[in-house]
Amino acid sequence: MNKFGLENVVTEKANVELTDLDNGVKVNFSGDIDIQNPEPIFVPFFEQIHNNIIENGIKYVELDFSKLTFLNSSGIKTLIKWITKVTPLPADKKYNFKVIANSQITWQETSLKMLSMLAPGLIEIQIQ
Amino acid sequence: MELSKNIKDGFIELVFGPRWTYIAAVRSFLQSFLAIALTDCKKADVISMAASELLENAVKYASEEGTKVAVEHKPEESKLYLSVENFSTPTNWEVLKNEIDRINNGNPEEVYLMKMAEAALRTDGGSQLGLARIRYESNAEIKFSTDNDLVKVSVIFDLK
Repeated sequence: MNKFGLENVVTEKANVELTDLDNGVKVNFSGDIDIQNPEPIFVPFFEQIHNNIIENGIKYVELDFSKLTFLNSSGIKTLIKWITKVTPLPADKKYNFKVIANSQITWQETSLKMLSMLAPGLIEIQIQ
Repeated sequence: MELSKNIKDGFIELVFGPRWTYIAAVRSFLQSFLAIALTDCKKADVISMAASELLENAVKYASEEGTKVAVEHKPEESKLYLSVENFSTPTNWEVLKNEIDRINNGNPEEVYLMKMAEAALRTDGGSQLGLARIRYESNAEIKFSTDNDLVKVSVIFDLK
C-alpha cells in the first residue's frame, strides 16, 4: 500500500498503480487505456492523489508510461484534467511532474510532449 | 472490392456494427498488417492510432448501426488513404465539418494545445481531441464528405 492508503485502479486492460518514492510519489501506467469513458474511473483517482499531495506538501510526482501501450484521447483528457489542477495553484502549493516515456511506443513521444506544453516549467519528460 | 490480378495497391475494408469492443481488434489488426505492408512500425502505429480515434468518434456519434473502415495504400503516390464511414445526422455533420475545418486551417501543434485546454473544461465524457491528435501526430490531411445519411472522414498520410 502507498503512503496515501489509496487503492490502485485495475481495469480489464490497464493497471494504474501509485507507489512511494523517497522524495514524492510515482504513478505506474500499464496495459491499454482505451475504454469509452475513462473519466469516472481515473479522474477521482487522480483527484485523490492530487489532494493528498497538497495536504502532505509533496513536490514531486513521477508518471511512468513506459508500459502503457495505448492511451486514447479520452484517457489523455483525464491527465489534462489533473495537470490543469496544478497550474493555477500558488507557487508554494505547486508540484512538479516527471513524465517517463518509452521511445519504442510511437504515440508516447508526441502525445506526452504536448502534456508538458500545457504546464510549462512543471513537467519534465524523460524518454527511455 | 473484387479480386483481380496484378494488384498494385493494398486495400483493406472492414464493415461492422459500431461496437466499442471491435475498436481495439481493428487497431491491432491494422498495426500488424501495415507494419508488414509499409515495413515501418512507427507509421503503422500512427495510422492504427488514427483509425482507432476515428472509430471511437463513429461509435460515439453514429445514428444507426454500421461502420466501414477502409485503408488503401498507393505506393506510386507514396500515400495511404484511411477512411471511416458511418450513419449520422445533419446536425452532427455540421459540427464535424466545422471541427475538421478548424483543425486543417490551424497550426497542428497550436490547435492540439488549444483543444487540450478546452478538454480540461469539458464535463460530458467526450474529449473532442481525437482529430486534433491525428493531425498533430501525423501531419496528415483530414477530409470530410457526406452521401445521403452517410458521413465519411478520410485521413491522407504522406509516406515519403
